[in-house]
Amino acid sequence: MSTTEDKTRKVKLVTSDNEEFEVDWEVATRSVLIKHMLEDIGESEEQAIPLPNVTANVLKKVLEWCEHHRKDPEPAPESSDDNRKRTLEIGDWDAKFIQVDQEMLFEIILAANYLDIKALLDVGCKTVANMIKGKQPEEIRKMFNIVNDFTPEEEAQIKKENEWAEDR
Amino acid sequence: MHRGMYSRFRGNEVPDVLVALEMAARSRKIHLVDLQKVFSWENWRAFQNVYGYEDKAQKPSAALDDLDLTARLADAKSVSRFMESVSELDTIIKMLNVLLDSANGLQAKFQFVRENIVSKLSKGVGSLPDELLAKVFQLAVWEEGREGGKQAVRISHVCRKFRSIALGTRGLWTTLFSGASEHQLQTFISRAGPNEEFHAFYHFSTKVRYVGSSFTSICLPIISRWKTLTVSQEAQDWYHEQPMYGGVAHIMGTLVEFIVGNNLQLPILEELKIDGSSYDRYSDSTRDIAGYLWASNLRTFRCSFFLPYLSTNISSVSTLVVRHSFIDRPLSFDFDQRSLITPLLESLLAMPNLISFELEAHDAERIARDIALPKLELPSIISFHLRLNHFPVLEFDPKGSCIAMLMGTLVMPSLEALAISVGMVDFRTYKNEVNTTKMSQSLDELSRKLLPDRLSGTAGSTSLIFNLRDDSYKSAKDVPSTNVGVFSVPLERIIRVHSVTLSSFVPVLLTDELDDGGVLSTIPNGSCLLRELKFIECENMTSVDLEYTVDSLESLGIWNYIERVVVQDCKHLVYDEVVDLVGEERLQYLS
Repeated sequence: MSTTEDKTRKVKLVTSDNEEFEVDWEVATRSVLIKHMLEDIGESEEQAIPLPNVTANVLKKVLEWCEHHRKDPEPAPESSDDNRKRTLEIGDWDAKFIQVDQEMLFEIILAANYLDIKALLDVGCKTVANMIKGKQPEEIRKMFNIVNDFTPEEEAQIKKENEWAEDR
Repeated sequence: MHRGMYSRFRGNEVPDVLVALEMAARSRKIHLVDLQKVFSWENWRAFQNVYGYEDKAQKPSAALDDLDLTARLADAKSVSRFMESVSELDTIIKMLNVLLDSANGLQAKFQFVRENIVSKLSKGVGSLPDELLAKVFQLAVWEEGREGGKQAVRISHVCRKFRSIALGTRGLWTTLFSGASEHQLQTFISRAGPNEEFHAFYHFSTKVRYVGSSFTSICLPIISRWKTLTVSQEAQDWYHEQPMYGGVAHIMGTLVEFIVGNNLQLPILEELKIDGSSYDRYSDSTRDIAGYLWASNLRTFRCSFFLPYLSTNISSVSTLVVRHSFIDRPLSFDFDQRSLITPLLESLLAMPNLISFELEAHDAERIARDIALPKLELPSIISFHLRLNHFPVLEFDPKGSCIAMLMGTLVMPSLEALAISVGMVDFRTYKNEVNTTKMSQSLDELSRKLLPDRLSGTAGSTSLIFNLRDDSYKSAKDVPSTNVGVFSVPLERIIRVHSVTLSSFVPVLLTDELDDGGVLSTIPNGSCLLRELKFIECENMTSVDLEYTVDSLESLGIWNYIERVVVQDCKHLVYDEVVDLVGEERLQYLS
C-alpha cells in the first residue's frame, strides 16, 4: 500500500547510457522491479536506481506510458484461463502510444519485461500478436525480416503439415 | 586488378600521390587493390631520383645503408634532387597527417551512431527471449478462436526458431476444432502433452447431421481435460438451399448422449458457450437425459438463442450470459404462442448460486401471452446487466410486454451493480420528426419498469449505469436530434445507489415524480446513499436540464449528500455554466 508521503516522493533512475530521470514515486512504481528496489533501499531518497538494461530513449517512452497509467489499479495475479479470455484489443491511448517502429516496439517489450510492467508488456506482446495473426508463414517472414532456414527435409515435413492444416 | 594504373608515379611527387590515391579511391574494387604494392618505394620518384635506377631489371635496393647514400650524393645536382624529393615527401606526410587526423576525428564522431545503428539492425523479433515469443504466439493463437490450431501451425512454419518455440509451447496446441481432420486433432492432442487443458469447438455442419462426427471419439481419451466448450452453428450451414435449423440443439443432444452413454464426466469444464442462431427453432433434445450432471464445476454459461433444458441444479455456475429472443420465431404466425420467458426463468432457477447475470433481450417489446408469473427471488445475484438492442421504444407496453413482465417477476435483493443499456429505434416519423410528448412518456414508463423499485429497498447498491442510445440507421441519425423529448429518471428509484452514471442522447432529468403521478416530497433521514452523479456523453443535455436536476435534488435535501458530479463529453454543457450550478468543489469536468 502506498502512503501519501510516497505519492509526493521523487525517484531517480539512471539508464545504461548514464542519463538520469527524476520521476514521481507513483509513476516509477508502475514497475514492480523499481518498486522492490525502492523497498530495499528504504527512505534513502538521494540514491538513484540503476537500470543497466534500459537506454534513455526507451526509458523515456516507458515513463510516458507509466505517467498515463499512474492511477491504474494494481494488476491482479493472472491464471492461464484469464489469459485465454483476454483479447488482442488495445485501448485507444495505448494503441497510439505503441505506434512506433519495430526496433522501438521490441525495445519497449524488453524493457517492460525487465522492469516487470505487466500491462505494458501485454500491450507490446498484443501488438506483435496482432501483426502475426491470420498471416501465412511467408507474410510473417517478410514482416519481421526472418530467413527461412529450414532444411529440405524439414520443408518436406512442413509441406505435409500444410496439407492438413490449410485444406479443410 | 588495377595494379598497372598505380605502377609508377609520374612528374611531381605530390600530385602523383594524390592522383594514385584518387584512382584507388574511385576504383569499384578498392578492397582488391594492393596499396602496399602501389605505394612501394620502388614506385616513388624520390627513391628513383636518389638511387637513379630506372631500369626494372636493375631495381634499386632498399637495403643500401645511409652511409652509402651520403656517398652517392656527391655532386650539387644530386643533392638538389635529393633535397627536392625530401621536401616533397615532407609535404605529402603533412597532407596525409592532416587527412588522417581529420578522418580519425570524423570516424570517432560517427562511431556512437554507427554502433547504435548496427546494434538496432541486429535486433528485431529475434531479440525477444523465447518465453516472450511464446507469449506472443499464445496471444495470436487464442485470438483466432476455433482456428487457433491453424494459426499455431502457421507460426511453426516460419523458421526453425519459431518452430522450436511453438512445438515447445504446449498451450499453442490446445484448440480442438471439430472441423479439423482426424490426423490434425491427433497431432494437436499429442503436441499438447499429457497435462494441458483443452478448448473444444464443436461446430454443426451438414456432415455432422448426416454422416456424424468422429470429433468426440477422437477426444474421448482427453475429454476430461476439456476446460471450455463452444458449440456453434452458423448461417453458412445450408442443405438443399435451406438453412440448417436446430444445429446447436442437435450437437448438444449428440454430445450429452455420448457423455451419458460412456458414463463420462467433464470435471474441469469451466465455461460452456452455445452459439445458436436467432432464426433457429427452439428445441432441445437433451430434455430426456438432462438429469445427468456431467459438468459439476461449470462456472460460466453463455448462451445465444438457445437455452438447454436444465432439470438438475447447476450450483457451480456463477456467471450467466444470455442472448435471448422472447419469441419462438418459426412459429411466429401463431399469435397465441407463449413467450419464451419461462425457459429463461427455469434456467435462472437451476443456478442457485448465480452472481452475475447478463441478458441481451431480443423481441422484448412483444406482448407476452403468458399467464401472470409469480415473483422469482434471486438472492445470490449481485450484478445484472440488461441490454435491449434495436428496441422500438414507442411500442413498449409497460404492462403486457415481455420485458415488463420479466422485470416485474425478477427480484434481486442483493443487487449491487445494475447496468441497463437501451438502443432505441423507430421513434422518428417518416419525416424524421419525433413526437416529443409520446417519446418522453414512453421513456418515463421504460425507466420506471427497468429500474426495479427494490433497488431503493436494498441495503445499498454500489452502482447504476443507464445508457440510452440511438440505434436508428445511420441516415436517420444524421438528422440533428435536438428536440427528442426528455429521459426522466425517477429519484425514488436511485437514492439508495451510491454512484449513478447516465449516458443518453435524449436530455436527462432526475425527477421527483412518483409512479402514481404524485411528487416525492421528503426522504426519510439517512435513507439517501447517493453520493456520485456522472453525466457521460449526454449529447443533447443543456444547463437548463442540469438545473432542473439540481433543483429536484435540492428540494428533497439530497443535494447536500452529493460529493461529486462528473460531466464528460457533454457538448452542450459548458464548463462555466456547469460550475455555477454544481460548484467547483463537486465538479469533475472532462471534455
